[in-house]
Amino acid sequence: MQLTVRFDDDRPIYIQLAEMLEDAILNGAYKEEEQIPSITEFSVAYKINPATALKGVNILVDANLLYKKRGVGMFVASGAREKLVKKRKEEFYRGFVEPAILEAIQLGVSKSELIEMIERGLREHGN
Amino acid sequence: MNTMNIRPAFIYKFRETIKIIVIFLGIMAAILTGVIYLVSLNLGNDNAVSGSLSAFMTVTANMLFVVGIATIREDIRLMMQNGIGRRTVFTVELLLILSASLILAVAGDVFIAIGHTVTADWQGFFITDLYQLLYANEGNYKMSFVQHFESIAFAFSIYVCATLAGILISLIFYRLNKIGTIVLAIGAPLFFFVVLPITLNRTGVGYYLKPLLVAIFEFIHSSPWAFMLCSLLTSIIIGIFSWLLMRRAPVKPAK
Amino acid sequence: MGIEIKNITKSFGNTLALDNVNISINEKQIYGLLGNNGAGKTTLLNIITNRLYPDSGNVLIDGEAISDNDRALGKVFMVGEKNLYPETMRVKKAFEVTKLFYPNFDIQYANELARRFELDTRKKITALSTGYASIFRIILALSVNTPYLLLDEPVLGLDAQHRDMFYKFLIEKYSENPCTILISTHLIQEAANLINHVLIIKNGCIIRDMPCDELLECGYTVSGPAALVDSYISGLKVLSVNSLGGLKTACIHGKAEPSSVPPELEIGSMGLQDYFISLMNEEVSK
Repeated sequence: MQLTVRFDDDRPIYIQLAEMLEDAILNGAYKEEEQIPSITEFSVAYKINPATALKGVNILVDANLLYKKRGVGMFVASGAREKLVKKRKEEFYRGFVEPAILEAIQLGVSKSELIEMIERGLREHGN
Repeated sequence: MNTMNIRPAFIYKFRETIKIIVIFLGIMAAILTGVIYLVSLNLGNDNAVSGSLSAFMTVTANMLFVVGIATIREDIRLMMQNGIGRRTVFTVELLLILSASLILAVAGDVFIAIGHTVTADWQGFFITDLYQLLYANEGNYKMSFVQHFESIAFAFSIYVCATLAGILISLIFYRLNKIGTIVLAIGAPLFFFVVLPITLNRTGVGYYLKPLLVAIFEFIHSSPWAFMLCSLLTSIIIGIFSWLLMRRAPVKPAK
Repeated sequence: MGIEIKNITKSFGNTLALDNVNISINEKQIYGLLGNNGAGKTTLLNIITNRLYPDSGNVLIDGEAISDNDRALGKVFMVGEKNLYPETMRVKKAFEVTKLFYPNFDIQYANELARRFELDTRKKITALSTGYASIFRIILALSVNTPYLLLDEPVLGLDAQHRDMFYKFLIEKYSENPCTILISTHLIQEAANLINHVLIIKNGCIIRDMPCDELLECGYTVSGPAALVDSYISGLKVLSVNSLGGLKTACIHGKAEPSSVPPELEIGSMGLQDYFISLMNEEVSK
């Protein structure tokens, strides 16, 4: 996670914090069953109110991506990464793929043309 | 009053006051020792030395007056910063005034007693103090036990009054605005040194007022207890006015 | 429990500094008292701590009147823009004195903070620069551990590095030992992320008193081509408008309805400072 970050004005801070936590789990910075920094550490590092930090963390706790161990701290739940990948993939579909398909339909792009475009893109960007 | 947190306030003020007292008494002791020593060096020459050392009470009263002026605002500020209300501050100031005055009164008497003992056979040179100057006119100003007690009580009453006077003056100027300060700073001396003497000596009112004032002064001077009574009354009046000035005083930083 | 400020009015000569101020500070949160210079922030804080007497109204701390009440006054520690300690006192001694009056004062922590801020505790208070005088006061505030902490413009004169350190120490302390903190400041942007609850004061009146999240939901921004923005905002309660060339950003009171906003315009949330500025400008333009 970035340590020096300026929060955007356009979304509530706790949401941006939650997104950063998700990114950290996804890219492996926070591994499953490992402890993550405390609320105090988050709020100090980002200079935000602890209540805000707690709100952001709780989003992940409620989604069972994090869990709290009494007296110890917060840990990444097993399977969190998988859950997140699934969630992000779904978001990817809704945010990118679906609009592309709708636009394709509008333009009259056929199914085989669409697949050809996808393959072309994969070739050009080396997957 | 269980809402008063006297203990830390008293401890703080006590420590500060003791420092002042110790330094002051140290200086006084040094002066006393120095003078006695210097005089003793010259005694051999046909008793050529004559004179007296008699300023302890006046100097102490002066010192306390200045301390009163200097510390009251500082104390109010510091204590208000630390969650102590004005009533507690005033109470603690009174307690310390009484304690300090007693300590200094006794110390002064001890100095005199030591001085007397050391200079017992000296002719022409006297260790004395205000009390003796006013009320004990025996040859060498030596005092009986009762007179020592009276001297201490006498000094005590002066010291209390002097410290309170300093506090009152500081508070008066603290509460006055700029104009009031100038008016008082010029007007008060003007009143006492010009207006009052002229009124008493040259006007009709003064003709009747002056004997009254003279009678009062003579009463005060007649005995140490009369003086102490007057001091006590003055202290009480000054104390009341000081509290009235202090109780709703705004607390602002020094500059 | 809490600090109750009831019907406080205060004038200085002909100037009305506080006008019937009513506030309830009763949770372990970080309150922000926001206002311009001269709005009445310092006067209010001085009245809460009994340094000044109001013309009318009263203050209760945990249900008790504060006047001459050491028990109530001992629950609050306030640091203002100037020191109330004797100028000739050394920092080290000031810590010890504060410990005498506030038994929970953590001298070790205070000395540790002094080390981190590079404040020489042997120095006399009068010998400190403006910035270090502020640091001295900040250290007192962070170490005193009273239930209520009032900070009046705590970062005045502090450079960016020290301001950063202050905020971090404050958050750390608040997170580990929650207490009720009130920060009065005119540096809105810096305080925005710290504050739970906002109190906005203008010309001696409290014009907003609500949780920060709620406050920021009161408005939104739209930005885009000037003409589009203009047509969108007509008829709406506009808080402020900023334009640069052909681009315009407008701050609007209310909740955004994405469906009624043209797709060329970008919707964003409102920043605390922008909202504050627009509130201050509201009256001026009337």
